[in-house]
Amino acid sequence: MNLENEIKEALMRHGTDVQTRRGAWTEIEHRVARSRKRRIVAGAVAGALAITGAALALPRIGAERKPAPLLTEGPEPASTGAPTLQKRLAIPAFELATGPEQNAVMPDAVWGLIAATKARENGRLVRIDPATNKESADTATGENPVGLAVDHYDVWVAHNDGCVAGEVCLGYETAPIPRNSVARFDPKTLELVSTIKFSHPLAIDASFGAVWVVDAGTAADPATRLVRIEPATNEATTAVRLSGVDGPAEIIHGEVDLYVLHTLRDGRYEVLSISPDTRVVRVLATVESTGTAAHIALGAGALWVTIPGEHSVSALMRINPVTGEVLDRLDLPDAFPIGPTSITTGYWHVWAGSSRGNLSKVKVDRQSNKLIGIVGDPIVVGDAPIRSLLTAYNAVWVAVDGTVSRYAP
Amino acid sequence: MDGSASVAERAIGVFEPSRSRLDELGAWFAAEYEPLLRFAYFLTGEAGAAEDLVQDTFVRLYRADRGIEQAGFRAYARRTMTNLHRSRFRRVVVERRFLGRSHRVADAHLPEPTDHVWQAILALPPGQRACVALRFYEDMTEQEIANTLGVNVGTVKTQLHRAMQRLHDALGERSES
Repeated sequence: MNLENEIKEALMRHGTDVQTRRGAWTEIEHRVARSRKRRIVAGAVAGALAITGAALALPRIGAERKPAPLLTEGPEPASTGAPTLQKRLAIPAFELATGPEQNAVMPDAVWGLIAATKARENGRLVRIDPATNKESADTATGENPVGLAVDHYDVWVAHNDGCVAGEVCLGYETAPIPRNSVARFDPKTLELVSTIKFSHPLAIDASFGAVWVVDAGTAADPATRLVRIEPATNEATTAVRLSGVDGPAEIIHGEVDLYVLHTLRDGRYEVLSISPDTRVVRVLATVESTGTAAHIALGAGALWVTIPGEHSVSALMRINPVTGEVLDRLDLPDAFPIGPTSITTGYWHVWAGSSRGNLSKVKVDRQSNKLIGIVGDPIVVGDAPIRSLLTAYNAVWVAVDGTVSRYAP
Repeated sequence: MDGSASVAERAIGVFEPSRSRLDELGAWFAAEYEPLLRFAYFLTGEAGAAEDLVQDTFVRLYRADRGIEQAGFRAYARRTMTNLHRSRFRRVVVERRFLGRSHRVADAHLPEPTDHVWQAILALPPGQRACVALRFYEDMTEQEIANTLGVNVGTVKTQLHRAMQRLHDALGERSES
């Protein structure tokens, strides 16, 4: 029997493995009803928070009424106090990331980007084994890596030329990775698989079966855009024009939407939600800038946006990720005057790093979905701005001051 | 979109649901549930995950901000399902295993597949598996698969070629051993 017939027969045999069942449509109606409430009940904060928190942070599991937590959300920490240091690694990463799941292709790893320290030198991509807390592999990137994303099969590194539009640009091309490009690496061998040219990548994310890049425009067409890379073909297509400018940008994803922070022409930051399917864009927030970057994170039941140095105190905004309603604001005195330099969520807490190298642990009550506040005092991690935070493998990973430190949450 | 939505809600794209839309989707569900469930099963390889995927697909379809014509529903539903599966449902399966839970009691009693061809199909990456299911179970042409998944024909050809190569290698090794 030839292969095609074998495939057909196997699919026919197993097509009967799964049976329709009564009540399936009723369950969908219930889930739609919960989805409706999330969008239209903006005034019922407690109800909207509960539903939004559950829908946002937790996967939708059929008939279960109480969804299970996300793998990355994890259980609440055993300790109600400050995080405790587990290990400090001499790895000068400025960006940390981990993959969506561990499988036969993707090794268990925390990934880090290391900047070049001098001209004509490449940056580095490093793989850290969370079991041993040691660097297990590394490879050269282009000269100026700016962002890192990990999907089910590859590690993606965005590079730009480090230049500002309209200014004379120096810097060097480090073959084979072009200055403005996204490079794709094999996670096991760290072999360079391919490179894709861009105008000026600002941020990168892997989600919804694709890789998404916030790309600054060209001199002829300067608006930022969201570009989608199809991993099967390396084809890069403009998904959405964003009309921002070359400046601080971030992109993250939730269960349903992408979230983009980019810089507007007047210098303010704008936070958007973008549907990866319908490409509908919603403006969720705008943040005044005092010249330093803002950051976003998703988790613990909300979208979080840092406010850099506003009104003499730096702060954190908690936002409904569907409506953009500001639900809470938390002042972070430790992060004054320039605001948190990094932020992440995990284990039902929000983690904020300051320019002084301190880490604040912010608690959200999981049952009530209420913002409680900062747990104890910020802990001293380093003596320089915290560059990146990551929650993975039951730990909080902190990139600061030439090190990556791992903390029990 | 419901015309009674406020200016603010329209400005931020809030979709005011209507009973008629739900009824319309319900009619499509009645007609398409079984084939979609089978397609979801081919994508996920697990009955529980397949049901979750179908449910979430219909919720997404309900929330879609553009009208879906009945003629395009089948393609749009499969495209949405394939994209959802790529990003989320493999994660859900891993999460359940990690947390030691089973979604359906029946799943716990499913035997490990001894059907080698089926095993090899389940080992394909999501994009390749979707193309194989649409090509060999739903008898779609490459153009029809491309229209369904919202990709170009070249992508479909590549996916099918790679899938057949992997299946050939996997089953060839089995027959040699």
